Amino acid sequence: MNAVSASETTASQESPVICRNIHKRFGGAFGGLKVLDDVSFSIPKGAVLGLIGRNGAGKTTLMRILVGLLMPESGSAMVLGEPAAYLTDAAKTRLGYVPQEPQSLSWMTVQAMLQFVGSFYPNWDHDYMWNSLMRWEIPPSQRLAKLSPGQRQRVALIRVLAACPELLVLDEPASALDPVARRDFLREIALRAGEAGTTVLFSTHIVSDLERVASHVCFLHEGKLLLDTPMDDLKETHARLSLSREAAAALSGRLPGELARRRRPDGGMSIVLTRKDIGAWPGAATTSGGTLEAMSLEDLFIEVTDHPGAPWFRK
Amino acid sequence: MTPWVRRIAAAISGKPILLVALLLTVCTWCAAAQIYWVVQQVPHHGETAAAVLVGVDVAYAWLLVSFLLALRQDLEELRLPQLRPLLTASLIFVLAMVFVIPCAAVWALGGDVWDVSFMAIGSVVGTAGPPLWRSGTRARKAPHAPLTAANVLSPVPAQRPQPWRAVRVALGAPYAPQPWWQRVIELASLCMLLAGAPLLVLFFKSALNPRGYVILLHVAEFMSFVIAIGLCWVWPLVRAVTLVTSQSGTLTELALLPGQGSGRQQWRRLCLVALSMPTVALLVLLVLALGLVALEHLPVAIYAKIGVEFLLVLLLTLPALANRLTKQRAPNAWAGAMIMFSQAWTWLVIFWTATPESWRGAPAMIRWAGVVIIAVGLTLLVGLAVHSLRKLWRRPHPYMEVSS
Repeated sequence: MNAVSASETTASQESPVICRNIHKRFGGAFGGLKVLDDVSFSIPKGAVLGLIGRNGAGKTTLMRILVGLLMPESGSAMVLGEPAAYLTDAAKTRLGYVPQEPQSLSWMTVQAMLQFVGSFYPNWDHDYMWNSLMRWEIPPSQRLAKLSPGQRQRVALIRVLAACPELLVLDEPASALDPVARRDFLREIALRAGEAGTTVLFSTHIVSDLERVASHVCFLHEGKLLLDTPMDDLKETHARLSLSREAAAALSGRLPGELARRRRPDGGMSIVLTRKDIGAWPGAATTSGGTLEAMSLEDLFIEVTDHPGAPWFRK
Repeated sequence: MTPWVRRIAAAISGKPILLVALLLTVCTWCAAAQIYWVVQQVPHHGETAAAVLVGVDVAYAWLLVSFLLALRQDLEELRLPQLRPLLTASLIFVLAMVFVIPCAAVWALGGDVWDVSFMAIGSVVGTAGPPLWRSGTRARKAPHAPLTAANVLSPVPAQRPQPWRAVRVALGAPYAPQPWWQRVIELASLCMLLAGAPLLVLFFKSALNPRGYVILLHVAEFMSFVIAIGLCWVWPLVRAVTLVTSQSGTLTELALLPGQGSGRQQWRRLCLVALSMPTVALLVLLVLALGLVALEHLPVAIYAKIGVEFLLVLLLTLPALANRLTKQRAPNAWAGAMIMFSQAWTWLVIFWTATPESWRGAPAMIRWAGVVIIAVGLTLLVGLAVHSLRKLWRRPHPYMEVSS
């Protein structure tokens, strides 16, 4: 027991976020809806992990569990070395979270809210806060409730970034931002991760955002984590195998490392493969009638998640 | 159908509050006209009737013109000049409601030129009020110097507030700290609301028969207390519960704010802050109700009845609120509880206005049936409250949602 605790402590020092076998279901009295199914992953320190998934994939639920706003049915979530449900004040000082639709303290003015929140953080960056308000043209005397959704999201980002946290958890932070503000925000994220070593977990369904800043990527689909890999390895370890009609007919069973397959109108087949765990591409990839091609992140996401009932997703 | 008529129809059907406001306006004018007519029948009270009607006219003119100004501001912010016909139509409607209809009603009810003139003056006051108020507020808020870091935001970070104060600030009105004069205005408004209807009944005591006067006075007291309890007890608690249970992270700030202590400390603070002010207000209302009973020299049994009434307020609201806290994703359950709650109030008015003598004539079976129904109801309510509180106690901190 002690050995396990010691190893977990060491791991938590290297990984600010560690999730193990998280399950979550809503509406349990009548069977309910399974939202997260055995989700396990960790984020290396200083990494920018992009969590991508379709609407209703469970991204927000996972993030709320990670910041201690939601209790999982089973499994454990460790954040900054502490259980997510029991974060101490020290951990909260090092953690920043922006919900999908920030509505906090909406009866206060921007200025009052930022001063109120800022007083709780020892490393509050007053200059950054002011410069960001000026740059994004947010009136400090305006009530938060009167701001547009995009402005409210900007204020939430300013609030969380001015606190200079070590771990940023951002739930679709750029969804309401215009292209200029989005680029500005992504640049800031990359800067924080690169210079200050801030670890960032952000969810999105905008693939271009992910390609711009993420160092790691996770695909969440129907509550399952389908992919968890460094961005640099993605193109080397994942590919699409296009099989001709004859080769597809000769194929029997699943291929090793197969993630998804789709039958084409001409009778051929497209199969998404990974060699992450098996080291080399399977034999079928090199047979005649088969073509192996690299995939963009967007293609990979669409191929992997556009199969709602596919049996190979179920563990 | 012309485009602007279609837009008006869309605006009304898209925002039910507009429809409700219109219905409310029509109903209130009907009621005001009825009061005017009734009061005119009472000798020596003609001026009172006119004053009541002019007062209603000022209030409604103020309300309608405020709506109109808000609509104009929305249209300006949305930059929708093509909806200008909607604004024109609304202006015509408001002017008709504020000037033409009240004056025509007074004329039709037999008022002379003076009455109509007074009515028109009331309309002018009510119409001019909102724009003047807005311009005054804007003038007070207008910055005297251009916005710069130096004059808008203090370069020194604010001092960290005590955890208790942080909870109050995060909960917002009516918990948030406010200047004393705002509190005085709130209290004065509440007193006016509480005393208005009973004082009106007292004013017309001589015109009513003794039995009708007693019933009317008790109904007026009941309605005043229901509104006051709603404002002082139900509203703050519902607001606090809504903030804590919101899925969109309304109180995420407070949950993740450093310096709030352990989960148990957060629970203690939130409960004490959320309950203390409404509890004090409810106790003050109880004392006021008992004072009224003493002033009216009512039987001793009425004191017990008032106590039971206030106990029922706790028994009806706390389980419903605790249930809402535990079932965060069940808005229908909350709506159901509120409907039951509103039905309970209907029965309470009978209980409130009845005296011990009223029950003496009732058959024994009805009395016992009443006792059984109340006992079953109380058991259910207490059971629901205990069940909900046990579920809440399992949470590590107040802002966490646990699987239902």
